[in-house]
Amino acid sequence: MRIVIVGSGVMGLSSAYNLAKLGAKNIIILEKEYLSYGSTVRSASRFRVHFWTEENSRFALEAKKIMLKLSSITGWNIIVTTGGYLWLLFSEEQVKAFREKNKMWERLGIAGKFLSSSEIKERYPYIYTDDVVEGFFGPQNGSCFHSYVAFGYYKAATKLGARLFEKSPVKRVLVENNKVIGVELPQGNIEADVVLLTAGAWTDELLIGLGIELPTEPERKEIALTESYKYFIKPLIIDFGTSAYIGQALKGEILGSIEIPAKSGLLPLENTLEFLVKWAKAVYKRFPALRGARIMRCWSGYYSMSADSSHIMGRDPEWPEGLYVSYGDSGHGFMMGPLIGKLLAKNILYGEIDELMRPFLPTRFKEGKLIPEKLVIG
Amino acid sequence: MGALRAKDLTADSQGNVVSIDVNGATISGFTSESISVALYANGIKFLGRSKKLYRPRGFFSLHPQARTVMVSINGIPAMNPSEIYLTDGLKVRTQQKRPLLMRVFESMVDTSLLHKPLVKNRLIWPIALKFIANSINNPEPAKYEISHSVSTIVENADLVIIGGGSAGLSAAIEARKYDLKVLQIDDGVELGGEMLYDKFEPPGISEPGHVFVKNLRRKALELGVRVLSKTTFVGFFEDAALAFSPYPLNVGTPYIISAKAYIVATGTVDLPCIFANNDLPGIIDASSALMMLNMHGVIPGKNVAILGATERGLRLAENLKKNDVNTVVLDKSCGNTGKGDVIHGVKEIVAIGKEMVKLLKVKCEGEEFRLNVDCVICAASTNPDIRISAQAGAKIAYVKELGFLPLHDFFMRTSKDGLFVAGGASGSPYGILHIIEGRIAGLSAAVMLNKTSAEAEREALVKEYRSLLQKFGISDPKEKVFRSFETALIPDEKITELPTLFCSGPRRDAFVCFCEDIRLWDLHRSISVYGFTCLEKVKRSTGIGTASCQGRLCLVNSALYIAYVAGLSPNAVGIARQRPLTISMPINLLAAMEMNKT
Ligand SMILES: Cc1cc2nc3c(=O)[nH]c(=O)nc-3n(C[C@H](O)[C@H](O)[C@H](O)COP(=O)(O)OP(=O)(O)OC[C@H]3O[C@@H](n4cnc5c(N)ncnc54)[C@H](O)[C@@H]3O)c2cc1C
Repeated sequence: MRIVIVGSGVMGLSSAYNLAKLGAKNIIILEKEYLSYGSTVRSASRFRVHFWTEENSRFALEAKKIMLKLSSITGWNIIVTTGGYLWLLFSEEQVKAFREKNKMWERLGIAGKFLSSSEIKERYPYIYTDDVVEGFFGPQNGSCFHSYVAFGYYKAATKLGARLFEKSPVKRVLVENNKVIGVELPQGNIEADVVLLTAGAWTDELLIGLGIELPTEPERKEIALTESYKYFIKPLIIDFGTSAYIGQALKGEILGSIEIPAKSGLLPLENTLEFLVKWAKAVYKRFPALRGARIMRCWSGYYSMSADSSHIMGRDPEWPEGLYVSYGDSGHGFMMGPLIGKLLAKNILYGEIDELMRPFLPTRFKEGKLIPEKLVIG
Repeated sequence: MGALRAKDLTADSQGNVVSIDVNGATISGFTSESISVALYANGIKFLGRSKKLYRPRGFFSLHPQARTVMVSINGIPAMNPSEIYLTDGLKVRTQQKRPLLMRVFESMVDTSLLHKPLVKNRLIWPIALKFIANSINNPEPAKYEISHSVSTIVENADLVIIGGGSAGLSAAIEARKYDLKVLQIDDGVELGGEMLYDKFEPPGISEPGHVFVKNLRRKALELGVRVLSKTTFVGFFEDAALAFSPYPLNVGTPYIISAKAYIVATGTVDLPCIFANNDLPGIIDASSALMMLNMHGVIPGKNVAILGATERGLRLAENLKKNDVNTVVLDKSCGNTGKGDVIHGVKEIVAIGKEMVKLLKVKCEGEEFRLNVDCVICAASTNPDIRISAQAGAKIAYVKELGFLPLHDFFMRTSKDGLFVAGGASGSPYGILHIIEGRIAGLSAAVMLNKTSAEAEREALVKEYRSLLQKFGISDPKEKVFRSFETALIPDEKITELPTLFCSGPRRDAFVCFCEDIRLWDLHRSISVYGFTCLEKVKRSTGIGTASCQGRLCLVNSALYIAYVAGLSPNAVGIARQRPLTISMPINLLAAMEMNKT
């Protein structure tokens, strides 16, 4: 079976690795720029198990297990830490909603902890808490280093025989008799029996080329980073009031982002001063200890947003035979990637649809079985 | 008044004498000097410890944008001593301590954080992580509040010129002649750039450089150019451009800039030479040496080794000899060119010293000798400062004799609309060529803004320019740049020689990045073990170019090294994407900005 994977982000690479591990021989990864040009190495590199929907929480829980083992699987130390996630809540309503959800999380064995404003102050003296009603702390969540996740999968997959071609932008997927026969590149065509689209926010274009329309669109997100400081912020902290978040990397840089009025489409990967100033204002207020910290750099990447903010994986039986996707991950694809690759590999090779995967099939939109995910930030 | 002050102070703008407190001791200096210069003049070269390995660090470059060593100033940690000028009573604290325990974890930090060490044992790893995170020599964020309200200053101009050296000033003068509203941004205390440090006649100019450039400056100011000095252009954003001045001290000023055209005249960067222990205090770049000597009357050392018998190296040697400094020039090329006291055929250098460079072990063909030195100056190679042009989105390419540069035509237009380059930033050699390029760029901006009468003048200048290129023998590479601009075909030339490399093999003590202790060895692993030869990937696997100097000193060197080792063209390696900000800005200040003003 000749398999072409379009895109070398975490989705493409983990799929390639898992396919190769299950014995697939002919795996080609095509990347339009260079290894992991897309969102994977532009992300905040965090993982969590707390999602609004049970489907996502269950999925993330399994994905986390792989993430924790990934260093020994791929041979690259991905520098996992579990500093937790802290959501700062600003109204009784928000608290109530989290308490409700915590019942579900408790059932899954991932209950978090509610912290009063003064407890937060005590544990995290660098947070301004006067207006915080309560906090929700999820100790199970953490971070790792995105480049090493991608490079590790890449190394492991190529060791098993998969091949990566850079500077190879796929123009379209070739279909004959409702069956995938390959892909078209500027350099020429490549034949394939299976084409897996893991082109992140660029996947929409390729699907539209096939006349397939799913409710997804790219959204540009900006992110900023400070110089390095003593490591003191362990959790990722999300300010539910302003949507700002911050987290510190082990090397010492503090990174974070904030929502600005969304513009969809593949906007140039640039930055706006509007974003930078808005984030700085939010950090200034919420984290007084960081007022003297210096912002060093900012960049941007795309979220591939789906209508219900949950990822899309697998195929629709009505599609041309051999066509698979994994995208639409709405800002949390990095953490789901390791499991997505594993389940997709089984799906592609054996036609197996894992119970965890079933809710995320692309058919859910026409069937009206959405997975409305509300915890998108962070 | 300091051990390294020249006896006869020829420098003219010294300002007042003031005293500052350094780690409890009082030293004196002049108000025209940055803290780095005053410390150096007093023999204090060891200013801090490096991040991962706690190695002694001084400044490599005095350029305000080379944030490679930080000190605490008036209680505020992590300040760049090259950016702050002396005022009476300033309190400077340097950090020389090396925690004993760290020695134990050094090896861990060394190989763990930025590299793949496979810690298979998942029980040990979390414990190790704790130590690693705590063992990095990072400061705490500065604790200070902006005491009075910061005003967000909005600057509108027709033309913004980034850099106020000889090229930038020449551009400003032409643009003013056509009545453009010109804003000139420069990070130095006074306009003039490198030519201010030149007591001799620059190539093609018939008066001493500093006299010539001061005349240019006077003229530009007379013509009504608006100037922001001690201000760094920090970035092009989609919705505005931003500049930043660290003054007033402990507050700073942000400028929101909007203009129709931009000229990048940011000059060149001296590439650090790569050899064993090249990070020791006392090893500096040529530009800093020239500046200290000719602007501040501070001699860089008593026994000086200059690396590279380049035009710059030899000019520096001449300057030093005038001040009775023992000087040797070491050069890689074989065979005697008959130029003074140059030692040729140098293969390898090892610097030795505990807290400052004291000795050089030099290996030449067939012989090995030692030199007692207290200063080593890197003058082997320069590269245009490409960060601003690259950030703006201009196409960057490598051209053999000139380095990585923004492709441009003879009107000095880059591939980005409305962005022009001139002078060192375009890869041209120092002297009259910078002047004429600046003038052409200024006229091009005028033409772009519909001053059609500028066209004829520009035409005439371009003719003169091309014949000067021939006269100075760089017509070929420059014409290659112009052609590549037109055709978008980039020359694919391999490099067989790396003028900055004085080191055989990927040593673990030869540094490429001073901010985060990244060494040849790290680069080499990325190339040979992981098989990465594109700078973007090497950057992501080693961290090169991601720390506080934003790649100013390391990116070009890394790209060239990779190309050299892998036998590729530097254009195949590429230069990593540049992003704002060129220098970091405090959250305090950004938070105080009012965006609705634009
Ligand atoms: C600012 C930001 C912060 C984020 N933070 C987190 C976080 O903390 N945790 C988390 O889990 N997720 C986070 N994400 C989301 C996460 O980055 C993505 O969900 C994930 O990386 C998606 O991986 P991917 O492989 O699908 O896509 P990508 O990594 O984007 O990879 C797609 C690849 O396909 C290539 N490609 C595209 N079109 C073609 C073509 N036609 N031919 C060939 N190649 C092509 C692209 O060049 C790219 O390399 C964040 C995202 C952003 C932007």
